[in-house]
Amino acid sequence: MTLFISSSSLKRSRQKCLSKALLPLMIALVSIACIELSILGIYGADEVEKQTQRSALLELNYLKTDVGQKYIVGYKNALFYKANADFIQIGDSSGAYGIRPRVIESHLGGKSYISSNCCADIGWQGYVDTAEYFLKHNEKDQKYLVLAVTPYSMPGQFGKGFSEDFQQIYNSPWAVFHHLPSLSLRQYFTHYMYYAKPYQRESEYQHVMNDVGVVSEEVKASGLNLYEFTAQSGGWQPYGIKEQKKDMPVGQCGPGISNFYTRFANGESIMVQKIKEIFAVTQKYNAELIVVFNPVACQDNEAMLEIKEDIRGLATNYPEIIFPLPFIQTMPEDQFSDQWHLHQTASVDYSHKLGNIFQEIIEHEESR
Amino acid sequence: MLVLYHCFYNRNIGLISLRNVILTMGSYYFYAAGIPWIALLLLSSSLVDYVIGAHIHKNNDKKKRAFLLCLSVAFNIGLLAFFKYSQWFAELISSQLLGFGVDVQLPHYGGTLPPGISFYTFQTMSYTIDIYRRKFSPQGTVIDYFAYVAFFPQLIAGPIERAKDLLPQIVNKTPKIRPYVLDSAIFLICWGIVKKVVFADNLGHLVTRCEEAMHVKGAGLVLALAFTFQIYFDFSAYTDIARGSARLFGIRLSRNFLTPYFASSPSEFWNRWHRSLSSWLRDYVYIALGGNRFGQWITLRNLFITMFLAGLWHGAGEFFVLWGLYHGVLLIIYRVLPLHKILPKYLGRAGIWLAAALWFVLVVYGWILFFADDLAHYQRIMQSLFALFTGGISLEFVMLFWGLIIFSLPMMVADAVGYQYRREFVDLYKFMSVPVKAALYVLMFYTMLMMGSRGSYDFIYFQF
Repeated sequence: MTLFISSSSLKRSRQKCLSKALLPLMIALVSIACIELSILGIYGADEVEKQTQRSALLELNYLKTDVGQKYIVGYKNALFYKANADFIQIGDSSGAYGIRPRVIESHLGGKSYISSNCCADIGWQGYVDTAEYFLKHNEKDQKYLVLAVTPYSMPGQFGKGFSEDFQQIYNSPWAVFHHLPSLSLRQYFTHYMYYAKPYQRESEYQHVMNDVGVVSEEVKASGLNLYEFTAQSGGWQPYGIKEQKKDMPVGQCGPGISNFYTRFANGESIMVQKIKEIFAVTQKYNAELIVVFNPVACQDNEAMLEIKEDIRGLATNYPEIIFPLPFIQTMPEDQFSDQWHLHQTASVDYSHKLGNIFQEIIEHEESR
Repeated sequence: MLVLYHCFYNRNIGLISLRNVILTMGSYYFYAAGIPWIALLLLSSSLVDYVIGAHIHKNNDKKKRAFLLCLSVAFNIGLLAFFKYSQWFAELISSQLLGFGVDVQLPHYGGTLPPGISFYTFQTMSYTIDIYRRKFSPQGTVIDYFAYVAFFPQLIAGPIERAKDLLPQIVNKTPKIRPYVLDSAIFLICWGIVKKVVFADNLGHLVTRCEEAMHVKGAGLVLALAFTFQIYFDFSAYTDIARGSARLFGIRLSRNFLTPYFASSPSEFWNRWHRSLSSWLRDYVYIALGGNRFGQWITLRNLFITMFLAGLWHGAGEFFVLWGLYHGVLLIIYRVLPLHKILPKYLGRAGIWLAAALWFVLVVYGWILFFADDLAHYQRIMQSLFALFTGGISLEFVMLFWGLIIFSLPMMVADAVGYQYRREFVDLYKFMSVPVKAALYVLMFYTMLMMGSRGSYDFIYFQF
């Protein structure tokens, strides 16, 4: 026991000098810096960042399965954060399943398109932070940010979700501590420590494919794991027909949308406020903002008036924001997997439609 | 606030010390940010006892002094009774009356418990009681007193500081913080954070996993042990952070823990666990009731009442009271049958270890009582615990147990080292060599980075 105690025995050592007193802390900080730089040197900045992306949002708590959506976000961040895409899509799962980047790219004359969409669980603040995150890493002079959401995920639907996690890890002043090079080894460390076996990416892919409930049967049928499929598809995931479809609202659009259209205490619409914040982010990074609402199976009616008025007001006050399609686009029920998502066949036609629209937007912007 | 505090350390306006004005305002802001009205509670408790304390001190009439003291106690107990216990009592009485066919809902406070109320009411009561007993004379100004009560590092979850220990440090110009004090303060804070984020919170997750897996034979045992270590690491981590933060202001808070799980008897345990509360109850309840001065039966009665109140202090719940009574019974049993002396006498060194192990088992059982929400919950835990002995250890149990090892063993090894030196491990920091200290900081940093719990818990004792 006396090995680590200084040779001055058990007398209190009174360091009178501040620098001497803080010497252990300073040595520790220098040691930590050396360790971090060494890891960075060994693995390279790109590999370190990709590995960190994959695990940053994950809790990796002992014996606890992480929320499946966090894997989707992590994989897309790792794959696309430095893709320098011309079009970056953000938003909820309606965009993840309903819009095919590769189909849209066929209309863009060589420009690239990626979809970072995951889920409404990320929250509307999460869309703002995603916009910030992807645009700040994008070096293109001219780029477009597409906010693709469904009318069925208004702000009151999912609340904050895990937007606070996203904000803290990617955009807060503390974000640097979530991107230390040694964190790229966190999965390896916890796996070995907790489960006495080395971390294997294949095992993680199997776990994501089978255990966390975010991978569709159609992806499983492709033979690729989620990471590979995401890389190949540009962020799209196919969605088949679901049980939920039998309860899908048809007829007049109503409380399923309007009840979740919430406002701040001062009366301002939360959705409008968040779109304004996303617009401010696009202005900061010299990008154009396009907002599209996913088609729905219900019919437009007076119940949607309040929301449409707010959008109209937003479009008037912010003419730079592009709303190419109406808030409610009605499509036949057989185009949907469930009320939120177009199924994979319908996503082809819808993507072609969007592709044409984006092509016109590009031509219009380039002619200015 | 720390910078301002030290910048204005020696500045006064008349008798009022500016550093204590800053400390008071900062502490109140820390306490009431977001919920301003709870600051009024703190202020009222402080003001009432300050005024009463001054009057007790000035008065020589025995009856008047006693009356004033009763006022102070009644006010503070009244605050506690209303905010902490009124709902429980109301529901208890309502349910009893319902048995007689009387359906009545008694008025009660149904909101959130104001943080720290159990701690600062006891702190202010100790002030007036010590003045009444002539063990302490009021000193300083009302601002100094407010700073003493509201001192933010220990306001929410203790240690419960006696006026004679803390108030002179606040009133007098103690020497400014020395470099070696700064060094140990930073270490204390870092150690507390690691203990909380890596060990206590991960044990909290493990407790949740056990609750989800109660069908697994032995999950109840892992739950009991995990909670035993969680509550200790959690509470002692808060104390470490509080003591470290206080040292940055040049103030020493009292120790609240001293390797409690190495105790071998109840009296030793209560000298090592939550010392500020146990000493408060000893001085102001047990001794006030007569202590051990009036024979064995009175002594046993006093022990029982004291531990009943200890349980009740923790919360408005039957199982908290049961936990307190359980420890009261153990104190009585060990008075009559001092196993911690008998076993070493007949078994030598093995007897010392056996006595400690036996006491640890008894403590763990007590924590099951403390943790259980109700009888059904308690039964589920016990059934799962004893199922382990019906044969067959499953892989699930092994995984749960492994988690227990990972998240409790390192800290208990540190405690064992401290126990060898009759100190806490953190006390040994100042004797360590520079390379060892540096290595410790690096180890703490990476432990937190790699194993730190994501999705943390509030400090457990915040709820009391």
